[in-house]
Amino acid sequence: MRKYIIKRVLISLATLFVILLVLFILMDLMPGTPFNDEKLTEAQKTLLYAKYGLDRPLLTRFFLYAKNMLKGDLGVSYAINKNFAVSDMVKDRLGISIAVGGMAMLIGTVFGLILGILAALNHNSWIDNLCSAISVIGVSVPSYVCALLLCYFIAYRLGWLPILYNVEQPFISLILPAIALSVSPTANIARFTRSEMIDVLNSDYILLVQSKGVRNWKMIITHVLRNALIPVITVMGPILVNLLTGSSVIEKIFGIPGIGRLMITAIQENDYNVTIACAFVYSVMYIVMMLFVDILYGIIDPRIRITKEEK
Amino acid sequence: MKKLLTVLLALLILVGMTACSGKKGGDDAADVVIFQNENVRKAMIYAIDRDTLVKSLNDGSIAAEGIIPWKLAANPVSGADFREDQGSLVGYDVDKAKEYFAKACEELGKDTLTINLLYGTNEGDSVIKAAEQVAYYLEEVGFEVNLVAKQKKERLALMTDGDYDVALTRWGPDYADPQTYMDLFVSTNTSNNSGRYNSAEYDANVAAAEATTDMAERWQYFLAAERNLVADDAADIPVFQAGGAMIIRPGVTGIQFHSAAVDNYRHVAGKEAVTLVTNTDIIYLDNQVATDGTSFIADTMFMAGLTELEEGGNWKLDLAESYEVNDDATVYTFKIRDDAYWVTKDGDVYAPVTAYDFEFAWNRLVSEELASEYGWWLDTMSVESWKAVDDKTFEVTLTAPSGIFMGCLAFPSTFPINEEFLTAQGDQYATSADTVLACGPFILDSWTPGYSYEFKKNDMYYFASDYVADGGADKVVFRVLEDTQTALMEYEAGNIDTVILSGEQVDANKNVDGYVDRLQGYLFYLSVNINHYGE
Repeated sequence: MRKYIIKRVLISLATLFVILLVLFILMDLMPGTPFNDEKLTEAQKTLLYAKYGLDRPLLTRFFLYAKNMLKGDLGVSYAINKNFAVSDMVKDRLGISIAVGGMAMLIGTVFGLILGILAALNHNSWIDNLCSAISVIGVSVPSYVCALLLCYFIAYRLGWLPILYNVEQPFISLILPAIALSVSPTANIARFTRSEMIDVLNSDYILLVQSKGVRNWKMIITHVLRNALIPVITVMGPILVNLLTGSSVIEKIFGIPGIGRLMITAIQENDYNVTIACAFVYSVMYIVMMLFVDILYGIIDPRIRITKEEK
Repeated sequence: MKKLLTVLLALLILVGMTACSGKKGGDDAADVVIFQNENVRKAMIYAIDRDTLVKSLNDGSIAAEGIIPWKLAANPVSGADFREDQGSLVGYDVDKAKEYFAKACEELGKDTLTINLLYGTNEGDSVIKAAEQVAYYLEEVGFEVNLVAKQKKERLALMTDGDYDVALTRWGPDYADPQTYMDLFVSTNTSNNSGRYNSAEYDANVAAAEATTDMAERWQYFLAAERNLVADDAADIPVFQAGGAMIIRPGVTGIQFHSAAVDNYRHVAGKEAVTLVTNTDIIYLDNQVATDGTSFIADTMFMAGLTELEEGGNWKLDLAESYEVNDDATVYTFKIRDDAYWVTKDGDVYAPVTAYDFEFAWNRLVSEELASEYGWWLDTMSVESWKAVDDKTFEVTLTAPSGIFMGCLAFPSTFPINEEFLTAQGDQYATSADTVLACGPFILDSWTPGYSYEFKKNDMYYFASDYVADGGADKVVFRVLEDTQTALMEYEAGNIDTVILSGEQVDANKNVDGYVDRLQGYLFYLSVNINHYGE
């Protein structure tokens, strides 16, 4: 197992290095520069390139950046908050996005599992149909529609919760955005759980467990859920990363200074350092999550661990 | 191994894409010439129904009548607006447009004329709507129009490279004078004259206007120059002047909008704590490096210059207590107030504001290392040299008398800077509320990037007591909100005191108490690429 994990970690690190290089090349290919502005003269642009070291060759910049990155220095922002340390910008905003995303994931997982299990246990009944209908609606309605509906009815008409994000009451004001964000993961998790549970419930070994006279709820928890959740965990990894890295639309609607919005602005403004940092953070989270899921997989399902070790 | 191969393959494809992408533009040599044909441009100028266009924008925008917007500058003799003196230089006349189009087709020997219309997708809804409508009107006349949608930075890059046909672009005035627009289109201005309009007559008129000391004559030269550019040559095609619809809570007063200068929020009154909405965050607090309206507004809140702009665009003295000017109006001597102080975030006095702070700041503004986008500002004001005579006396020498000099001193780029503090802060200067000093009516109390920035009253500022007597706010908060729908809900719930409306929201809110239809200085025009293909 240890050898397997070490190998996976090394591959992840190599992947991140390649991602960083590709990001750098892509940035260089992007049309325009951070200093494209109606009011800058050519001479000033040249000065600014020199000042921020953008006049140096791509590879020099890349290695310098990679070296600084190991020290935790992600450079400064050129266009969003000029001269701000990108590491601070990303840190502050990532925190808020993780809070919203985490809440959304929690809501999504709890409700998704409940819906999925209910549907599977009552296969082909009205409960199943109802749960499926909710899932379909959840997947097809965009999050901003939910966000605006929630804002209008719950916050504006009923006044139960704040309309916009408020630094002074972060928890309360993040509930609505978290609910709006959780709609799609709820639906996805419910659908997956349902279909996996149905598969497992129809398998031979469950028939065996049933014939052995194991009590119903014990059977569901130890035998059905444990087996049904393996594929569900695989989809939950990417969903979680997606949620944690922020949703630009939700952040815009609720006035949240999150990382999703930051990344979009950075791309629009050609703010190289911020774009690279955001994209890299996203990649790190994704790869770490994948690694984590793989390891978790091994723990839940020994077959995977054993086959992989044999290879 | 397989993975490594995949990555290598991906890199290879990437490199391949770079090699192939190369330069576009200038690929159809036959099309390039069409914009050099005057009739093509004249057909365009008459094709656009600007009145209908602005009606559909529905945000207070008005139809452009020339390249100089309304309310920019007044005739030095009569006081009439530039637009009143000039009248409209554009008109909507389909028949005329079709006539020009037919003539152009004949001269060019073509059946169809194609225009690639470049515009920015992240420059506001009004730009997207306007571009679509312009395309519609041009097609009505007979042109074939392809809309080229790009991000703003890319649009600007394409224009700089001359890699475009016609672009919907804009210019915001830097000061209340026609020169801020007229300088854009002289043949020597390769930074802004993207289409490389080149007219000896136009250049001569602008040069004459800038050389003369007779303000009435100068006015006439600018009028003539605008006629050259728009009426005679149709080189750049005015479309609309931007408006801005918003609601200001009844009872909240003192917000001064300037269409040709930085909006003044220093006199906000009517409530103890006022929360205003902004749709963009501060980009840079450093008044000499800042370039955007939001940052400039923030600077005028906690900093101050020798003068301040009042309602109606007139200046009054601010940090200067008095001034003297010599007989030929070329040497100004300012006396800095004795009660002008630099104040820290906690409200403690750091140092008095001196003439040396101005000298240092102005030296820094024009220095090459700073590469400020407003490095030319002092030139515009005709400033030749400046020096601190003593602690409280600042002397400025002009190359020639300037009618805009005193008003331009209210612009943040000219505000003083405390050298000792700046040096102590190093790279961190102006990156947070803790790393700036206040010398204006407010102190920057906090700044949470992307969320809000808050000002509190500066008790050490000389007009603090008058301000309180006038019911001025103790606390002014700017909240960054991009979505107009939730912002409107927040306004109606009573949590914020202003809200910016999008075109769709205007009709439903037009009769709401506090609705304001403000005219901005931004003029949107079509830049036509006449002589600047494939650089």
